[in-house]
Amino acid sequence: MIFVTIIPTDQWLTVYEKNKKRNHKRNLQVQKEALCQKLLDYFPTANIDDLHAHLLSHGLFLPDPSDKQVIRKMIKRNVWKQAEKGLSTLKKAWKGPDVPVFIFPSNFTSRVLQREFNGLSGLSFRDKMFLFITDKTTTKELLALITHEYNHVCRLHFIDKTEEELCLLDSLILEGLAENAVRSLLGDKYIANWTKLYSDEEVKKHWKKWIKPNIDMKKTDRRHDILLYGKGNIPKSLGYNTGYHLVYSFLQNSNKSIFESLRLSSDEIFHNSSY
Amino acid sequence: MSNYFNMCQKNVGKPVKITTKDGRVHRGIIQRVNHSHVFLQPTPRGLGGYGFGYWGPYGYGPGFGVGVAFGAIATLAFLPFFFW
Repeated sequence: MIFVTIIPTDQWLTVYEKNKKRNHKRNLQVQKEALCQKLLDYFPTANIDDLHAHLLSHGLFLPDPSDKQVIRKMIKRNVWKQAEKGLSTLKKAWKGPDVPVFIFPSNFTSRVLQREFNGLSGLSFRDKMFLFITDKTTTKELLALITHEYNHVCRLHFIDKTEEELCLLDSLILEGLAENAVRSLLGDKYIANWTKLYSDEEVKKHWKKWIKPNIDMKKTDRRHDILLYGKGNIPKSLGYNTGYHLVYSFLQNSNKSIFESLRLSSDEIFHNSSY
Repeated sequence: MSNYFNMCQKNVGKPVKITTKDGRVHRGIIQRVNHSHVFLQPTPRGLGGYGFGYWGPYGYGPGFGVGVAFGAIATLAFLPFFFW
């Protein structure tokens, strides 16, 4: 098995569990100290409160009376070992970098996260990745999440752009490649709900109306995330959905593998797609 | 009462950048002010990364914002909205 770095966050979670009190507000502090304090080493320029809020926004669990059980079950099922196995296979297949991986429970008090995303969330950077799962996440679901997130890590590693250099087109292709990788490795059954929200006609309409005029928009622009996630009159999961279909058409047109596509520029993928 | 107290009191809801004497930079929206501290609602943008499709901006309730003691403030600047 190829070596991968799974951080023993099960031990961090055990510390959180031990220090937990009865008061929710106090437990947010306990969580921040037990988890985010250690994570600061991996975010040299961040402050702890921003980091905590950022992870909560992306699906980290909120302290809750039932989190103890969730944590225990995750430890019992040994999800850390499962993740190690899956990641090792992907790292070998894509010849990707070794990055630290942090696994935590997802926010089980969020109905949207549990219903629409099956309790799965993640967050990836070129040098680290986070997985947010539940005690009920199956091995295959965990693999789908790891495939999606590690695909991001590889893509960010190969295109080698800073956060400031990335634009909306890069983001669409990142998301599109990640979920097409899930489709090609695990099958249609495991692809995210946001790939199936709209008809082909609607996808083309969205592209023309919202995305095409903004493909150069920087990731750091406040409107970027609104186009990626949707909000108000901007369709739900707009950028994710459009990106999936754009990359799907590229893969059909070009016959390239995920391994090859990961190393192509965003422009090359875009110009050989049907968009 | 410090000058900072008055400035912050008058500008609740506005984005601000505070540098403390220990060199740390705090950016956020002024949430509330008491006799000793100003509480900021952090603006978590800037940490970046790519997710799995879920995003639920986490609202910091009162008391969970970052509290900065007036005595610790080195510089304080209000920011135009489009900057944060």
